[in-house]
Parts: sequence; structure tokens; C-alpha cells
Amino acid sequence: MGEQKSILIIGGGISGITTAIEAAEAGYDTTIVERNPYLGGRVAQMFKYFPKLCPPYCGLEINFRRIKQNPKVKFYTISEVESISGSEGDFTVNIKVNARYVNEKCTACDKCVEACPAERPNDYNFGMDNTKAIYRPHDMAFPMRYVIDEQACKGSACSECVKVCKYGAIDLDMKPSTVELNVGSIVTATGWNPYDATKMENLGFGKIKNVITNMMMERLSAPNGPTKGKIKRPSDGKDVQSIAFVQCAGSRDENHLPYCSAVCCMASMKQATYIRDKNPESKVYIFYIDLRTPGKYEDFLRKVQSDENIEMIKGKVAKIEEDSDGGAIVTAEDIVGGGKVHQKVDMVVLAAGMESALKNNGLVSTIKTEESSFAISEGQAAGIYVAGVAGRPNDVTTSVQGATGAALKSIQSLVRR
Amino acid sequence: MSESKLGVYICTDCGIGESLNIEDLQKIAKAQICRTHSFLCSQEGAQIIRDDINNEGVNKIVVAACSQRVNYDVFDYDPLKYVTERVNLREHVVWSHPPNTEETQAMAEDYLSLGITRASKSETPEPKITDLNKTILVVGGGVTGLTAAIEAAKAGSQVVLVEKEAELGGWSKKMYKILPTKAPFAELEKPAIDSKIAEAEGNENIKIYTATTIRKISGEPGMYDVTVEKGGSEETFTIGAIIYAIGWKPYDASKLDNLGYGKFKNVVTNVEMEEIALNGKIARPSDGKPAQSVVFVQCAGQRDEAHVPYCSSVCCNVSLKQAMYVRESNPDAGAYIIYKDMRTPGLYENFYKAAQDDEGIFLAKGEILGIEEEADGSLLVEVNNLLLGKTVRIKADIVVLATGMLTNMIPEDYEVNNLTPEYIGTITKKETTDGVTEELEPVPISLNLSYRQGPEMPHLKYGFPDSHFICFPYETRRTGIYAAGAVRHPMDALQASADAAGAALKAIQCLELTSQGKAVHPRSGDQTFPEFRLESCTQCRRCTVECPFGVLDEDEKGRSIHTVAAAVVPVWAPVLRGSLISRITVLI
Ligand SMILES: Cc1cc2nc3c(=O)[nH]c(=O)nc-3n(C[C@H](O)[C@H](O)[C@H](O)COP(=O)(O)OP(=O)(O)OC[C@H]3O[C@@H](n4cnc5c(N)ncnc54)[C@H](O)[C@@H]3O)c2cc1C
Ligand SMILES: Cc1cc2nc3c(=O)[nH]c(=O)nc-3n(C[C@H](O)[C@H](O)[C@H](O)COP(=O)(O)OP(=O)(O)OC[C@H]3O[C@@H](n4cnc5c(N)ncnc54)[C@H](O)[C@@H]3O)c2cc1C
Ligand code: SF4
Ligand code: SF4
Ligand code: SF4
Repeated sequence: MGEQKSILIIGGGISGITTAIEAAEAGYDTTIVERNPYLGGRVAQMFKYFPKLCPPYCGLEINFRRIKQNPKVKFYTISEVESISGSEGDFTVNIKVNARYVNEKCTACDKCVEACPAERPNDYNFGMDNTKAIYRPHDMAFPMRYVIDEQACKGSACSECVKVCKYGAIDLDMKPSTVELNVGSIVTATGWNPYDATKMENLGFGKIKNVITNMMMERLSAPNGPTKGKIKRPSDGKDVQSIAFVQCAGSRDENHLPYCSAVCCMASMKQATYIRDKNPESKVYIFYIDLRTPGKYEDFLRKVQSDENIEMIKGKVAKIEEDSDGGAIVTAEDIVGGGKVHQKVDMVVLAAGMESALKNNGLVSTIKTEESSFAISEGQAAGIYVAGVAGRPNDVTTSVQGATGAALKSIQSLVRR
Repeated sequence: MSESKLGVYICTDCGIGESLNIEDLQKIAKAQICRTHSFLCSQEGAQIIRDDINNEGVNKIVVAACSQRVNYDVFDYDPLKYVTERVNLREHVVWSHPPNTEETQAMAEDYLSLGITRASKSETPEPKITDLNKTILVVGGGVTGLTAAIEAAKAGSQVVLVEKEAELGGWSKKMYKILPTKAPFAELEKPAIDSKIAEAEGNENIKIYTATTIRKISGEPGMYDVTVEKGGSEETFTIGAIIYAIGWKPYDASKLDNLGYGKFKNVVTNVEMEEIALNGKIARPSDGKPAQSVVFVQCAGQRDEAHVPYCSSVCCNVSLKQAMYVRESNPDAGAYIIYKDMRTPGLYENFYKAAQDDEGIFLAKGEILGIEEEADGSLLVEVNNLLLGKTVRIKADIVVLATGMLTNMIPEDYEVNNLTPEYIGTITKKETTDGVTEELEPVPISLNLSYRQGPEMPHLKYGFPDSHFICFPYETRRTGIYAAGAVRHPMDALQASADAAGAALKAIQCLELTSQGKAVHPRSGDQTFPEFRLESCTQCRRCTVECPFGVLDEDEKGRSIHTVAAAVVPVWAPVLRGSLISRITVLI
């Protein structure tokens, strides 16, 4: 038997991390390629997990600890797979490692941020605040190292950050590099992006300031978010007293996402508890088609329904309009009660669906997908596997189960040789 | 460890030097070697420590600087050769407390003394490595157990599969057709279970016992002794890890007499509907008349705290499937599905749509107000149709109750909504010297483990053997035993198969780490394990009763003993939760 090949994992969200560490602890070498400057994916942006309402970073931190002490997990951040060739047991993969402009000497002292004159919208907070051009990806980022946004940076003519960094950690001339890896199997764990809510014109996102998406709601509620966890209206900073959740915003709609995103019913109920916890007077209205809380999640539905200030209305939202005082008016058909509802609220959260990150992605030529761009599970080329939401919309626990299974499959490709 | 030599290294950067009196800290250290550096994590800083290790023989290293969350790769010394302690002066002290106050200084000094004491008193661990049995036992031969066996064998493992029934396949063997398993998730498929059974039977690395049950399992990961019984004779063998896949059973529909089950012949369950379909035409059980109209009652017991409090996840899809049977059997027949919420999450929305596009399938949100039988055996179903806002009566040849799935962890005669906490059993009252006390007597059902806490897996709720169902779904409180499939959550066969592969990985991983003398997650990689100072034991039995991992038992004298040989103690090391918690506190 020759030297054992390693496993490539594309995407370092909770699924990719799980595949990597589970395979590594079973004795196999793994490499994660992650596009963001940090690992953790979407759950790193969340305030709490349904149904336990516990902090997602807890599980991430435990996994990071496993990664830190395990030499069998390697990872590249701000990196992307450029090309894949070969076949099961012998793939050649080219990875483009983009320039971070900050090296391993960085101690996260934050001095550069004070000095930097340029700003950029903070994508981690969905543009609800800004960071400097040199920034820490987020408070708990792993790896804990700063990064420069080359679009926002004024370049070497400025060099203010370099001047104040006493550790010599900043290198404005850093160039992207290419790494070639030879791997035995490949796991696609590229996850999802929020569906572009501006596409649903009747819902007013992008035009009405106080209409936000569910992922923005996670950031608005999180203590390390743009408002330090205070749920305030974006338009004027007023404390939110009433809030409407619009379910299936984009999902289950032939004109947008034909499938159900599987988690957004639970996500909205979870977010209803965010505002109810922070503001005991607040009122919540959830407009839904079907309440999808399968399995034991039913207990959570029962708990949320027992709160008198949370009202659930079966009906698809037809339109959202801005009121003169900045509030929003939600119009929906009340299927059970009959008639039309016009509900005025301070803020509206669109339960926007999850769109496969494989959509419009160069990887598609190697990874086979179905109509909605989710990777198919049967019928990939030998040695190529799928984990997490890259395969279909799911919650974390189902993603992690699948990711653990994908670790086994990818090991089989190495053992077969 | 031969000779121990302590080195203490204090970093003065990142605000530490400005906020603390470093000289006083050095006095506290009282170590032969105590150095300060203005940038300890730099190459030069790290080199100082390496030099002391190489030239001075330092083997206990105290790094008083930043959190161990960072620079873990800089201060990284072989744990089998060196004891390393990270004292967090940065995040825990100077970044979170006012500079140059007496309290802040005292806190830093305390942390430093604690770290030094811990390093001084610790020894490098000696991993215990013994020969292990790496065979995997799969309990249950349904789609989950078969998949787990096949996937583990493909990764190179030997597998023993034990199935209670004479036939393999579980419920999947009793289906007329199955839900779509691949894109576009719109069409029914032929059952694939037979080829799976053939694959398992044909695999020389899988040994299959049918019509066999487990009498007893004792031991530990890597060395479980298993006694099985087949046809009255017993056999004992050794295995390394266990995949627990005993599946599900239907909820007892006779408890749903308000829906006419047991009273009216043509009211059947969804499980019985599969049988009807397998027998050919969809016809009434009472008289064999082909069905013109079939009503499906969703959530028949589920989502109701009086029956099955949770949602069974698959029965909405299953009724859509069976509505298609009705239409296939008789293109003029109508199928009516009365639901609370249609739950076809993810890509199964396509399947829902395919049913909606069929003009003979009618779907309505509604409540069943009553079911009556007519003289000819037909049924009249009164429905409060919430979509139409009025009550309607549907005449049906067959009413199908979409009953739910219970885990096979629940023994006969136990109610899913009224189980004893943690271990399924009965509470018995006992006369003791302290008066009457209540004690839980767990009942054996499938594994018959020789654990003090009970013969089966602990459950969280509703009998499902999960301990942590978000981030780490395979961590049960019985290391070495991994549940998968419908035993641990209602799920369809597609998800159960993915779950089976995951459980197989965990079983293989547990054996791999154990063979290296390492603990599994959440202490993964740890080669240390606690020793018990039995001379101080007062026989209070707190540890044997409470250890959630069942590590400890009592000897004849009532003292605590490991139920397991030293070899693999790290795997279920006691106080595992405790150590996890303290670790997380330290990390931040
Ligand atoms: C509003 C909302 C709230 C939610 N709340 C919960 C909850 O409370 N509990 C729960 O269980 N689930 C929740 N979910 C679902 C949860 O977000 C997903 O299950 C989870 O993110 C899946 O993880 P993943 O690793 O598969 O994907 P992701 O988290 O999307 O991770 C994929 C990673 O791959 C990277 N990547 C993508 N493409 C490439 C590429 N080409 N090259 C390199 N890297 C790439 C991405 O940058 C990302 O880091 C919620 C979802 C939403 C929409
Ligand atoms: C009416 C109905 C229709 C369904 N249709 C579909 C469908 O079309 N497609 C789909 O994907 N899913 C369907 N499902 C769900 C499907 O049945 C489950 O996902 C599947 O059966 C789970 O497989 P399993 O192996 O975990 O459990 P099981 O099928 O229950 O198998 C468990 C096995 O373990 C054995 N066993 C039990 N106790 C012991 C013991 N003590 N010792 C040894 N062996 C033991 C059992 O005999 C059995 O063989 C349906 C469910 C219902 C209710
Ligand atoms: S780049 Fe330099 S100045 Fe900026 S945080 Fe890192 S070490 Fe500090
Ligand atoms: S989970 Fe709920 S909100 Fe999300 S698409 Fe499905 S039904 Fe709609
Ligand atoms: S899957 Fe459908 S029928 Fe089954 S319990 Fe859930 S909601 Fe009810």
C-alpha cells in the first residue's frame, strides 16, 4: 500500500469542519478550503440555535479546539478551488490562496484598525455597519488574524496600518499563491447563501428600510452585532415593539426557489423568542403557509404557540408597504379566519430561503447538481461526495449527521486503493 | 517522568507589562527558570523556550501570556514529553480588569500560582495501549442496520449483524413503493431493499445472525463480550463497537377510537395500507370492493400530547405516496388528505407539487369532526375544512390513519408521553431505613448491557437515545455505542442511510482512537485519565450512581471500581462533562 492520500473538503462551515475533524480523528489527513477569512460558515453569524436556544459558537469552539490539536486537519482560508482533475484515489487540485496581507505575526492588538482611514461595509453584519479596510473578521474569528479588504484598502501609498503595527504583521505586497494538492477524495460542503430578497418586489426589501431578512435579524439580536444585541429599527433606531415574520419568502415559489428551505419556520419561531425575551411588551405576527417543525421540533412550536403575544396567521403575504411613520403594513389573506389582514408593525423580517452556494459557481463542472443547484447525492463521479446544505436544505444536526457519513464515504475512496 | 524541571515564561506584550507588576509576578514564580519577554509568541520569543528545553532540560512549561485559544501552534510541545500550562494573563486579567490595581495584580498572581502548581503536580501521561477487537456489532437489520454494515465493511471493517426477526429489511421490506430518493424528488420508486439485503449477505466481511437476540453485553469499547441467543442456544463473542439500529414501531391505533379504528373495518393505518397495496388493487378490507374514494387523516395521534406529542416527520410524504397508490390502482378514484400542516420539507416540496398537480388528489387543512359507518361498510367523514371555512362530509371506502412512529426503545405497554426520565422503566417504592424511597428500575429491551445505571441506552425524551442533538448528534452517554436511524428520531430511509454511514464512521473512529490510547470526543486526543484514590473512599456512592457514562460500579464491599480495564479508561473517563466545562471556561 502506498502513502495514504488525503481528503479535500470544499467549504469550512459546520458541515465541512465536521467531515474534516471526524475523518481526521479516524486517522486520515484532511484539508479544508474556505472562501471566507474565517471558518464556521453561516452558523458563525447566528445568535442562538433552535430549539435549545444555545449559542452556536459553543459547538464551533469545541470543533476548533479539536482542529487545533489535530495535525491531520489543515485548512486554507480566503481560498478557492481553481481546478480539479484526475479520478478517485488520485485527484489533482489547484487551490488559489488569496492574499490576506496580514501574516502569522498578528496578535490581534487592533492598533491598525485605529490608524486605518478607509472603510468598507461589514459583510459579516450584512452591511448594517462598517469596518475599516483592515479588520478582524468578527470577535471570535478563527483563525484569530486580521485581514485587509483589497477593494477598500488605499494601497501602499497609505500604509498607515503598516506604520503602527509593531509586530511587522502587515505586508501590503502580499500576492495570491497557488497550492497544488494530490488527494484521494473530495467532499463538497459549500453550503448556502441567503436568497436575494430584493427579487421579491412585493415584499419591499431594499426599498423599505424596516424590512430586513432573517439573517439580518440574527445579527441584530447578537451581542456582537451592529446594535450590540438591541433589536432596533434600521430606519430610526426605535426599539421594536411589534414585528411580523413573513414565511416562505422566496421558498416554495416557482418564480423564486421551488423547494422548501426546511429551517425557516423554526428560525422565525426562534427569532420570535429573541424579541419576546428582550421586550416583554412586544407583539409578534407570523404569516405562514404550513408550519414545518418536524420531529421533536414540535415541542418548540408548542412552546412558542403558548406565548399569547405571538400570533400565527395562515396566509401568504401579498404585499408590504411603508407607513408614514416608518412602520410597515403587511397585507395577507387570513386563510383560516377568512378575509384580508392589514397588520401594521415596526419591523418586518423576511424568512428568506437558502440558495445553494453551488449556483453560479465554477465548481459545477465537476460537481453534478440538480435543477436548483443542490449537489446530487447519487451519481457523482467516484470519489466525490456531498455534505450539509450543499446537498439539500437542512438544519445543523441533519447536516452534521450527513457530514459524518460523508467522512466515512471519503475514507472508503482511500481504502479502496 | 524522570526528573522534572520547571520553566516559567511571562510575556509582557499586549498590555500585560503595562498593567501588571512583572517583577512581583516573577517572585511568585519561584522557579529555577523564569524569563520574561516583550513578544513571546514571536519567533525569538518561542526560541527562548525551545532553547531551554534543549539546553536546560526544561520539561514543564508555564506560558503566562494569552489565551490558549490563540497561539496554540506556537506553544505546541509534545504532550507525551512535556507538561504545558497556559496561564491566561491577557484575556482573563489585563483585558478584562482595570490596570495596575491591587486586585488585578492579585488575580494575575493567583492564576500564575495555580498554573505553576498544576504543572508541578502533573506528570506526562503514559498512553495505555492494548490489543483491541475492531469488529463492529450492528444491532438491527433494517435499512439502517444493513447500510451501516455495508458502509463499515467498505471502509475495511469486520461486521457482525444481529437481527431479531427471521428476515432482514425491517419495515422497508413491507413497502409497496417508496418515496423518491433522488432529484427531482417527484416520482415513486421501486423498493431497493432487496438489493441491499443481497449486498450485505454477499459481503464476506459481514456475518449475519437472523432470528437472534442479544442476551448480554459487558465490557468496553474495543472489548465488549456479547452473548446472543438463537433458537434456544447461546453463543458468546467479542466485538469492539456497536451500532444501534433497532428502528421503530407504529403507534397503537386502537387508542384512536375516536377515529373509528378497531370499530370500523375500513379504517386502517398507513402501515396496513402498504399491505393492502402489496396485495394488489386498493380494495376495502371489509368486502374487497375496489376503492373509489380514500380519506387520509394526517397526524393521527401525532402532535397531540395525549398520544404522540412530536411529529413523525415522514407521514405527510407517506400519505402523498399512498394517495398515488389509490390513483394508480383506479384512475377514477379520489384521494383526500386532511392535514394540520403539510410537512414536506426541502426538496420533497416537488413531491407535494406532483401530488397537487394530480386532479384526483384533494388536499385540505382541516379537522376530523367524526367518522361514521354506513350499512354497506362505507364511511362518512365529517371534516371542518378550514380552507373553505365550512364543514363538509366525504364518503369514503377506506379511511387511512397516518399514524406515527415510536422508537423501539419503548417496551410494550409503556406510553410514549409518560416515560420515566433518563432510563425507561418503572418507579418502585422501597422500604429503607430512611423511610419509603422511590427507585427507578430500568427495563431491558434490546442491548442488555451490564452497566450499573441500566441495561439500555439513556433517553432524553420520548424514548429517543440522543444526548446532544444539535452539534454532536452521535455523542450518546455510552461511548462505543452509536445510535442511527428511526430508533433515534423519526426519519425516512434516505436520511436513515446517511445516518447509518455517520454512525459507522463514529464506531470506526472510536476504535482507532482507543487503539492509540486516546479518548474520543469531547476529550478527543487526550491521553490522560484519572486514577482513583480508593483509600479515601467513604462509599457514599455518588460517583457510581451519578456517573452519566456508567464508568463506575461497586465491588462487593460497596467501594467504587472501574467496570472496565485500565486499557481504555480514557474513552469513558469519568467527569467527562466536568472536564469539558472547565476546558471551555479556560478557553475564553
Ligand atoms: C435565518 C436562519 C437561521 C437558522 N438557524 C438555525 C438554527 O437555529 N439551528 C439549526 O440547526 N440550523 C439553523 N439554520 C440552518 C443552518 O444555517 C444550516 O444548517 C447550516 O449553515 C449548514 O451548514 P453548512 O456547513 O452545510 O453550510 P454553510 O454554513 O453555508 O457553510 C458553507 C461554507 O462553505 C464556504 N464556501 C462556499 N462556497 C465555497 C467555495 N466555492 N470555495 C470555498 N468555500 C466555499 C462558505 O464560505 C461557508 O463557510 C438557519 C438558517 C437560516 C437561514
Ligand atoms: C407507513 C409508512 C410508510 C413509509 N414509507 C417510506 C418510504 O416510502 N420511504 C422511506 O424512505 N421511508 C418510509 N417510511 C419510513 C421508514 O419506514 C423508516 O425510515 C425505516 O424503516 C427506518 O429504518 P430502520 O432500519 O431505522 O428501522 P426498521 O425498519 O424498524 O428496522 C429495524 C430492524 O431492527 C430489528 N430489531 C428490532 N429490535 C431488535 C432487537 N432487540 N434486536 C435485534 N434486532 C432488532 C427489527 O426487526 C428491524 O428489522 C415509512 C414509514 C411508515 C410509517
Ligand atoms: S495586523 Fe498588526 S496592528 Fe493589526 S491587529 Fe495584527 S498585530 Fe495588531
Ligand atoms: S421551512 Fe417553513 S418558511 Fe421555510 S420554506 Fe419551508 S414552509 Fe416555508
Ligand atoms: S409528518 Fe405530517 S402527518 Fe406526520 S406527524 Fe408530521 S405533520 Fe403530522
